[in-house]
Amino acid sequence: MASSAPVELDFLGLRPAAAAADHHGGGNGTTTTTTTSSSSSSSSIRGMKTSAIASIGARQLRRVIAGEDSTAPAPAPSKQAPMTLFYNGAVATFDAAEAIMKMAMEVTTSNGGRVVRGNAFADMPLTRTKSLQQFLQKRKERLSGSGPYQLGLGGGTSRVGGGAGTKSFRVKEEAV
Amino acid sequence: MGGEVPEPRKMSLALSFGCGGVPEEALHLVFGYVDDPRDREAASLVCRRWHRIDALSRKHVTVGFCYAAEPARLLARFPRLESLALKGKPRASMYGLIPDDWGAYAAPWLAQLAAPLQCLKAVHLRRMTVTDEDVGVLVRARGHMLQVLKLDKCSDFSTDALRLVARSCRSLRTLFLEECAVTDKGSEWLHELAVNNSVLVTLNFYMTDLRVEPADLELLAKNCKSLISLKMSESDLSDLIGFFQASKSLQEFAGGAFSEVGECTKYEKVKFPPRLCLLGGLTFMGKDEMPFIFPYSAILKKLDLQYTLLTTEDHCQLIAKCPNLLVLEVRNVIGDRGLEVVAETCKKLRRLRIERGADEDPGQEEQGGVSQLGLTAVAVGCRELEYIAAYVSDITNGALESIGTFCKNIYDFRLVLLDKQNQITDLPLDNGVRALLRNCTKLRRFAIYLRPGGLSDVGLGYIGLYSGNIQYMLLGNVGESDSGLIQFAMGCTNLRKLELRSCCFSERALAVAVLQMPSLRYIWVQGYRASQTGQDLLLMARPYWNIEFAPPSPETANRMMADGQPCVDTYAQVLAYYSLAGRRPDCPQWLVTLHPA
Repeated sequence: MASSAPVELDFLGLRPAAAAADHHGGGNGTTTTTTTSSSSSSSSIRGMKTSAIASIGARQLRRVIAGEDSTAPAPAPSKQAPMTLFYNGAVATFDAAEAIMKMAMEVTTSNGGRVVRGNAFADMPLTRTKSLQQFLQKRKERLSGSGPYQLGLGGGTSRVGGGAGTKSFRVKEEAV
Repeated sequence: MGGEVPEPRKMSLALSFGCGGVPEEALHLVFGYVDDPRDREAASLVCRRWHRIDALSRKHVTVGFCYAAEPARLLARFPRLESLALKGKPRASMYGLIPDDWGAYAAPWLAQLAAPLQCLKAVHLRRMTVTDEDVGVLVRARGHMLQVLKLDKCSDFSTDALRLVARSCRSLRTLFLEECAVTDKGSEWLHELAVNNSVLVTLNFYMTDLRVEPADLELLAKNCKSLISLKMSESDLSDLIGFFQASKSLQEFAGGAFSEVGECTKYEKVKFPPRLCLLGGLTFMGKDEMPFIFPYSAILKKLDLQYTLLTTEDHCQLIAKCPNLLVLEVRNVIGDRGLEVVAETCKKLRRLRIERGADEDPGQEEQGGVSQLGLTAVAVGCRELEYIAAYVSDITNGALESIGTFCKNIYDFRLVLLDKQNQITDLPLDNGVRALLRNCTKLRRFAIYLRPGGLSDVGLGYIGLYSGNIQYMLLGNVGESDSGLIQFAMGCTNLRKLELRSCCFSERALAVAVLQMPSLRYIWVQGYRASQTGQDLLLMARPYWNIEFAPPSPETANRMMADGQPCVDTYAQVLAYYSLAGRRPDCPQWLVTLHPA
C-alpha cells in the first residue's frame, strides 16, 4: 500500500492556481518522448500541432508506463506505489494509469470550453429503434380506437396510414 | 551461412519472389479459396505480386464507413470487384439520434464506380442517402447483370426508382429494401417486377409502408418459381391467401398484419406454403390467431414475435411447440416464464433477441419483463447460443457468470438494463462482466448499457483487461470517473469500433483513451462532459484521424427537428474515425470538423 499521501488530480482544471504551482505550465514547443519529463509540451507532426500524448503513440506509451519492454496490454504490476484518486466524491486506486493521466493534465489547453452538461445523465432516455417505436405507437392507437386500426373497418390491402406520395417512414414520438 | 542445402533455399526464394516458381494461374486458384477478408488482407501484404493477385481476384469488399475511403481509390485497387457493401450513418440513426441531413450520400460512390466496375453484380448500401437519380446511375450502368440490390435502412428514394429496377434488372435474384424510407408513388413497381423477372429468389420490403396489390404478389409467385423468401409490409393477411397458395417453394415469410380485431374467421383460410420455416412480422397477431401457426411450429427455424400481441402465457404455449428453433425474436413480454420454456424446448437455439416492450401497458404485459431468472435458464438450457441481445428489468452477477460458463459459442452479447425498476438485485456487475468476458472467448461484439452504479471503474477496467478479440463495443452508463475509462482503454488492443453513450467522462479523458487503443478506427460518443467547443478533443488530433463534433445547444436541438418530429437529441455528439479521404466535404451546417490550426 502507498506510504505517500494521496495525490489529487484536478481533471477539470477547476483549480488553476494549484495547477500552476504544481506543474511546469505553459511550455512552448519542447518535444518529449518520455513521461519522466514533467514539462508540458506540444509538438508538431507535419506542421500540425498535436499534443505530446498523440505524438508519442500508444505502444510507446504503454511500454513506458508498464516500465518494461513488453507489449502486454494489461497493466503490469507496477513498481510505483498505488495512487489514490479523489475525484468528485468518488475514490479510485490505480497504478499504471497514473502516468497517462498526469500527462493529460500537463498538456496545455486553453480550456475555453466550460462543461455544459452536468454529472448525471438521468435525463438521457433510453431510446428505442424506430421500428419498435412505430409498432408501439400503432398498438396504442389501435387499443384506444384512434388511427387507422379502428374496429370494423372494411377490407383492402395495407392499412398503414398515409396517402400516395407521402414519406412512408416516420419516426413517431417515443411510445410511452 | 555454410552448411545449408542449396536446393530448398532456392525453392523457397522462388515461391516467395515468383522467379519462375509457382505459376500465376496457380496462385490465382489458391487465392480463389481464400474468402475471409482478414486472410485476404494478410495475403495482400506479403509482397507486390500477391498484392496484385489479391487485387485482381478479390470478389467482395465491405467499406465499413463510407467517409473512411474514396471511390477512386477503391476502383484503382479492385477493378474487377463483383460485390460491394457500403455503410454510412452511425448505428445511432436506427434509434432516431442522427438528423436526416447528416450525410452518407451514395451519389459519389455510384457515380464513380457503377460504370467502371465491369464485373459488379451485387450492391449493398446500409444506412445511406440514396436518390432516384443514384439508382438510375447504377441501373443504367449495371442493370443488365445486377443480381443483388440491397438498400438497407436507406432513405430519399421513391417507388420510381423501384420501377426502373423492375424494368431493367431482369437478372435480379435479390431485391432488399428492409426498413427504407421510400416515398410511395404507387404499387406499379411490384407489378413490373412480377412481369419482367422470373429468377427472383428474395424480395424484402419489410418494415416499409409500401402498399401493394395482392394480385401482383400472386403474379410474382407464379412467375418466379424460385422465390423462397418474401418479407413485406403490413398488408392484411387475409389478402395474401392467394399468394401463399401460389408460392409453393416459399420458406421464409415476414410481414402482413391482422388488421381486423375479432374477425378471426377471416384468417382461418390463411395457410402457409408447406416448406415455410422462417416466420416473422404477423403484426397484431393475438391469441385467437396464433393457432394457425401450430401446423408449422415443429419445423420452424426462425420465429419473430416482436410485433404480435401475444401475452406471456401465449408465448409459453407457442414456443413449447417449436423444438427446432434456431432464431427467436420477442419483446420482453415473454417474461422469465417464457424464457424457461425456451430453455426447455429450444435446445438448438443460436440467436435470441429480447426487445423492449412498452413501459406502461394496460393489461397486456403485466407479467412481462425479463430478469436474471430467465437469462440463467436460457444460458443453462441453450448451449448453442451465439447471439444474445436482451433488455432486462433486473440482473445479477450470477446470471452473467452463467452465460460465461455455459454459452461458450457466444460471439455477440448485448445487455440493456431498463430504467423503470428502482432497485436492482445485484449491482455493480463488475464480477459478472469479468466472468462472462473471460469465459466467452469467441466474443467479437459486446454491448452493455446500465445505469449509474451499474459498473464501477474497476468493472470498466475489467472490460478492457478481458476484451480479448472483441472488435465492437457499445457502452452506456458505465464507470464512475475518467480513471475507469483510461483503465478500460489500456486493455483494448483489438477494439476497432467503440460507441459510448450517457457516460460521465470528460473530453480530455475521451481523447486520451482513444490514443491508448491501437486498433481503434471509429468512435461515436453521445452524453459526456461536453464543452461548447470540443476543445479538449484536439488532444487526440493526429494524421488521418477525422474528428467531427456536434455541439450541444438549444439551437442545435431546433435544427434537428424536421417535419414536426419531436427532437430526441439535445446532447453533443462526437464522431472520430480514420480516413484516407481527408475531411468530409459535405458536412451539414451544424456539424463541426475539429482540427488543429
